[in-house]
Amino acid sequence: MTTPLTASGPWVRRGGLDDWYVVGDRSAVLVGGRVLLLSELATVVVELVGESGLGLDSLADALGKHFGAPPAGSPTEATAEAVRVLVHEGVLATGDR
Amino acid sequence: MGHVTTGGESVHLTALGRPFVVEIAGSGAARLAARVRAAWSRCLDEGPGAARATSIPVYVDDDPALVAEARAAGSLAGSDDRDLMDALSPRVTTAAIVAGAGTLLMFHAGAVADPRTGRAVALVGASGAGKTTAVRRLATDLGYVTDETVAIDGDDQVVAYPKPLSVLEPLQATKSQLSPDDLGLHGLDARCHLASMVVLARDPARRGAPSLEPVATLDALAALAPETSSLARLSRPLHRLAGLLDGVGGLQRLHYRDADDLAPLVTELVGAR
Repeated sequence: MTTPLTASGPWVRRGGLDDWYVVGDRSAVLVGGRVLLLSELATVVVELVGESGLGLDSLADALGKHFGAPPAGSPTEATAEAVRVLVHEGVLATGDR
Repeated sequence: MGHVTTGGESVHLTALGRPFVVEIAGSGAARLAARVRAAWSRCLDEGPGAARATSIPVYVDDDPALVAEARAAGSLAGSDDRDLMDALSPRVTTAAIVAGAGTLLMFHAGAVADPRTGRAVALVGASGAGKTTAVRRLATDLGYVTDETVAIDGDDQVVAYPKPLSVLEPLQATKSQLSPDDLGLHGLDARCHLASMVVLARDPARRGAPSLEPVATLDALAALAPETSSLARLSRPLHRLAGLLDGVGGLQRLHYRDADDLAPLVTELVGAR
């Protein structure tokens, strides 16, 4: 079940990943029978979310500490957009904690 | 119903290390069985594993009603030997892939090996990429492993699958199933292990000798995944795939114009010279 992303944020967790393989600051995931290559940002998101998940606000704070302020918008809005893309690809899922 | 199920011939095969029995019934059973045995000569298996073989029922007859009845019962059925041979090959391969899911790392690839050492090179490519043509040329000097599916077991050994070569010939609607023996392809004296893995990149407009281009690990995973079977059924599949690549010096893209040009480079890859 997917919860709409809002600024206040839902709980973010990993999607149904069959595997995740990291090389340097990038990675690949196997999800839904496809291998997707993840950027540095996406790789850090998957790392931060971890096995137990993370609230969107907490994720935004952590990304801010790692990458600094986003070039546009608030950290939470930028994080929500990144999460939305990864949810669309099945890499992440959102819902209640 | 009795016409469909009585009598017939059994041809025992090993495919990707698993035993299968092609159970052929119908008025043309003896004739078709002889053709299957000839084409699948290097996969024949009458050993102890035959008793637990998975059945692949085939029915051949000139009577359309009996053929339809057999087909409805789940048999591969028809009246033409050539059509049935063409359909049997993917039927066996698919059954073997299903049986190997979860244990074997399987690629859409042909392979040849040094017959003495078993050092093999996998030639990865989608259907139509030139696997069979390349293997057919190369295995006149190197050992024939397979033209279709390269399977790696848990010990990182290549499970040889020397099936008939499936060749689409001019003016034919179906592929011919050519015995590697009839084609004069070399066999293998040793168990095979992967020494190199390449993705075929044939370019008819290319000039110059074939060349190899390294593919970075993550790009290799993305390139290989579509050419695998049941990858997600394995434990930590990307790690296993990356580990395999690490052991063979990574994936390389093989650029070439014509399969006739490949022998020197591929022979060097398997270390046969």
